[in-house]
Amino acid sequence: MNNKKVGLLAIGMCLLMIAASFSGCVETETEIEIKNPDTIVFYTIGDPKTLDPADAYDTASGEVIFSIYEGLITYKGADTETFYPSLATDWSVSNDSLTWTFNLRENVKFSNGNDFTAEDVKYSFDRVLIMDAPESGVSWILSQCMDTNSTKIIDDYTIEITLTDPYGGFLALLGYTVGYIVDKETVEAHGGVVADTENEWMKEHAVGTGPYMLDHWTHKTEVVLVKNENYWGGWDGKHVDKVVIKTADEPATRILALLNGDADFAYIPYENLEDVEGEDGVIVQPYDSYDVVLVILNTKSNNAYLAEAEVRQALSYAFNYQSAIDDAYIGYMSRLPGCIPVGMPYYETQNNGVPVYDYDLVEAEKILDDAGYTENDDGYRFNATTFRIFYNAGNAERLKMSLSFQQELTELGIISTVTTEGWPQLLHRMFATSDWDIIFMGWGPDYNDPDDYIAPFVGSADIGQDTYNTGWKNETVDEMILKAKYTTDHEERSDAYQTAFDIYIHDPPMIFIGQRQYIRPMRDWVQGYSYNPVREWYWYDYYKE
Amino acid sequence: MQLIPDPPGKIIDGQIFFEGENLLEKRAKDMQYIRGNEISMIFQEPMTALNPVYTIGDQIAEVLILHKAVGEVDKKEIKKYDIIGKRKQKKNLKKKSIKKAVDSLRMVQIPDPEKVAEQYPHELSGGMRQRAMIAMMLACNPKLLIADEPTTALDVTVQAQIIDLMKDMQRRTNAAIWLITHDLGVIAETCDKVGVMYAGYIVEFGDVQSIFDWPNHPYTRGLLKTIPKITKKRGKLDIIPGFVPNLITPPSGCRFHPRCKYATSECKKTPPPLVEVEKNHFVACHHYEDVKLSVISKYQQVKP
Amino acid sequence: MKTWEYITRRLILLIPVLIGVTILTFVVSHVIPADPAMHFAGGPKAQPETIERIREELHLNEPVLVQYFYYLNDLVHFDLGKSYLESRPVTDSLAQYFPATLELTIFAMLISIPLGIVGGIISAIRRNKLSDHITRFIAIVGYSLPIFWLALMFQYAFAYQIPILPLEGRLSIGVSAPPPVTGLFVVDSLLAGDLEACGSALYHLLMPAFTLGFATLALILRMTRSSMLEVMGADYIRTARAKGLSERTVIFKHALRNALIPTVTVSGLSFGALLGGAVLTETIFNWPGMGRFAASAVIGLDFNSVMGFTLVVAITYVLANLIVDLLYAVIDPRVKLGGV
Repeated sequence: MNNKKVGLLAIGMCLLMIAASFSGCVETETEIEIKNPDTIVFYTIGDPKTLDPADAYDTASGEVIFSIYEGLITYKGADTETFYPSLATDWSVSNDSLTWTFNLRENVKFSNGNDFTAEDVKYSFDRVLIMDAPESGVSWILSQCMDTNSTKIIDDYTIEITLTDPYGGFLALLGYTVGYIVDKETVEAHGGVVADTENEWMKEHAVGTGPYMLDHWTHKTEVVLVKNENYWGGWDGKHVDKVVIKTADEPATRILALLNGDADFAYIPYENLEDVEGEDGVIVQPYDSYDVVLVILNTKSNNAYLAEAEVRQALSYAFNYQSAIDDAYIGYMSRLPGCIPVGMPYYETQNNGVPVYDYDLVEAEKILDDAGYTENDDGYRFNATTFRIFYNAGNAERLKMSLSFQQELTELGIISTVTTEGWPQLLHRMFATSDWDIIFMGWGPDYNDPDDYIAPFVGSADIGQDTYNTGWKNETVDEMILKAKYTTDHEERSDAYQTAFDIYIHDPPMIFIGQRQYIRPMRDWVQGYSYNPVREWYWYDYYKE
Repeated sequence: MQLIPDPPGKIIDGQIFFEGENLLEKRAKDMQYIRGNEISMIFQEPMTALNPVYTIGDQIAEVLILHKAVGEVDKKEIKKYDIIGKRKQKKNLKKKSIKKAVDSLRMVQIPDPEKVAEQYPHELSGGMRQRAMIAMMLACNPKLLIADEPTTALDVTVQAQIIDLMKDMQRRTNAAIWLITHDLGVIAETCDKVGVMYAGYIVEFGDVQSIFDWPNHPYTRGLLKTIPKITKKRGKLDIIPGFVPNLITPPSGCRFHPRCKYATSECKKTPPPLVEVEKNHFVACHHYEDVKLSVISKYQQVKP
Repeated sequence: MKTWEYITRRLILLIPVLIGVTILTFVVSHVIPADPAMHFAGGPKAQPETIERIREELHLNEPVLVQYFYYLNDLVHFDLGKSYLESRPVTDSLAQYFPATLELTIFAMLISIPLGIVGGIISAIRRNKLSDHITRFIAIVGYSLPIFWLALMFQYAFAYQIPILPLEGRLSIGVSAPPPVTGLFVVDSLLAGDLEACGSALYHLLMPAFTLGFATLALILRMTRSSMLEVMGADYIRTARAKGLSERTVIFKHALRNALIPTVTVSGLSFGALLGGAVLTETIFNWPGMGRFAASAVIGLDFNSVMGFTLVVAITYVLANLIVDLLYAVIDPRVKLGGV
């Protein structure tokens, strides 16, 4: 072949390749049949860490545990206000809020055929306390108000729990997986309870009373649940027989799976949602979750200025909230007025949900000038001290917000640096050093009670809180937090939280940005889906048609 | 043999006659039958001419089996799908051909031929390899053996052995040997006929005795003159002046003319035809008469 | 028995290699100024007692040298430590991921070696003709296009546009994995007589193996081509033709074996490299293999997993090299094992 022919051939091949790569632009119009009609398939990232409710603290583990084990009380659908009976049929609490009595449901069987009795309840709670969650530390949820003497068996189907402290949100605690009931016989047969040690068997296996049972768990690949024939709730009505939770780290794979019907649900990051929005057969519906986005300010920083309330107020005015919502979270976020997210009880104690701070650079400048932190000749405040901003590597949203905030600070005459660190390093910096001023953070719910948020955020180290090591402290706020913690009286709690809010919002230890929306795009043939911020997946409710 | 690799070489024209047939008209399959079987060839570099990854015995056996010198797999005896039977026959065949290969090695006077058959080419010396080549190429009793400078790469003593061997084999098998060499001594000792080639053309052809006694072509004469005689004392060696021509742009007319002392303008224009000067003696030169004369005069001088 | 001596000697030499590898990896991963204990304990919600306990368990409070000796001690007992990322022993993780990558790599090589060799031969014998140009073009495409692009394109084209191949994973939804004997699904399902699983496994291997093998195919093709071209010009090929052998025999019996040596080298090293982790292919096709595991272990500062993974890869490389060296001796009788 002579050179000219070769050249032509080469050009021809290149054109062919270019044409082939445009194949992606062709629209396919297909009406797909329901795939796997008796199975729900969920494509997500992350793999459960454990199936043992006594040591599970991550979302992925919860996705599974919430459907194979059960607790005394439960939630229904999207309702976060009411506690519904589950393994307990009814309950009452003493006047001093210390003693709770539960009547348990009869004729409930574990998936292996064993009967559920009060013994299993006591065993489960004590187990959590003794084992003390060596891997995850989740046991604190129960140990904050219970010890091994708390649970008393009255008879086979009655349990009495005497708390060590009158924790107001006790029922909410039982609604989280840490309070879920395991089969005493099974655990005893597989290693029993050993203090401060995890149970290897319970980590990988499960025997619960829930609607589904574990078929198999292939790490980092899939978890498959199958119908528990013995489930006390029965199988009348429409339910799926099987649930497959697949791990797929690559977003493109999950998107394709959703589009071609392999996936019924898929976790799609905010920035990729436009790829599936509007596609045939796909529903994209945002819900307010309890995941909040915060900026924590270090009052103990070696940059002493952050100790001053005015400085932190000014920073709260300097943050561009709307830009964070629109740019970083592509609009999938709502403003957070204080510690308590919308949907959680006592949200209204926070100025009725109206944020106190809004983006107002003029106001910020005024506050700083009035407090004496004026600009020097070069235009810098605080004697040109640098404010150090950090966020954890890989988090695209926090990156955007960091850079945006930096710009606002520059406008204000404050020098700042933005640094990213790996998660473990960042944690180290936050807890073990004072070498930081501003860190972008997030928080998610453990259970449906505001104490889970307000105490860690604005409670001080004196009462065992200050979860972010900011060094912030206010004695009255601490008092209010404790007061609300240990009462079940609605009025009392509401007043306490109100008082606390009025104080901390004007001396803010953090900037409250927003709460994220939870979106899991799904196929339109899935019915019965609802979102509950403290129990995000309950497969029993869903079916396909 | 039509072994010239297609790029860069190509056979454009001409005829090659073997046993009355034009080889250039033969199909590939027929040529494959002829090669190794009727016409064999041995090459200059025994070092690289044998495949380094197969044993000597294997390589000789290969040509035997190929040309069915030890029989073949009898297709009528066994069924088509009888793989085991086929394998057995093949194994048998192999055994027989190795035996025959050993015999042929013995014939070329390789010591301990059974052992050598198991060895690889890199384990043998140059001389042994050339012997093995000869054995391999003569194994099927070809009618013609082409030997392209078979001794050039070898040690002089080994050279003599190989030449003797070839003469011996020729006697035994009655094959014709076409020896290509530049060594006039070897030609004088072994050959019956000789053709002198210059720049791709035969310039003189005839019986060895005639050519050596009476070279007619200036080139032949020049070649013979360059052989130093021990008996005579000379100051400077004789040479043929000039350079070997570039074959891509060869000289016009007679290709030897730039170096020839007898050259005239006619030599530049037309290539000389082959003329028979005496029985079985041909020459291609316009002025062979002149050469003849000078040779005769020289000759006459030497005559006692 | 010289071969066995040689093999034994090479295997013993594996040990100093591994020690060297572990020292290097250990030092590098412990130089990073971060505290895995807090990370593993669950982040900001972690209780200080939990963190301290983990530190004790990991011997993090002791000097690096001491930590290294703890590690070596465990190693000798085949204890690679615990993966905090996966909450299970590293050996369990490796036992799951290594066979998955092994299976993928084997099939990728099954595609790339035969196709590469055949392609290389075709290219060589039909040098500068149409088939040569086409083959070389395909090879260059495979070699230069980024593998994740190829993977995504294939996935998009064959699992979505024209859905004839599965999107991801090793088995289809609804098909259970066969009881683990080797970890290779194709093998295990055949052993268990489960043809459905075998079919599903092969079906799922098609795209990822092809994607992975494409680049190696290009490499092998070019290697074979140049090697064949060189060999075909050799004297012994001329001899073979002079014997009257058919061109086919000349190519496949005489030329190929000589041309294979560089191809074997490249294949062996490619096999080692692929086993070390085809991160991108594995991520896109959601293949639970070594590559993905390694990537998340490194990012998550899971020291034990990183060490375990590095050890496995080092062993694989040494073994791959050993096998390649042995193959040389088989193919080329001029090669003497052990040198000299």
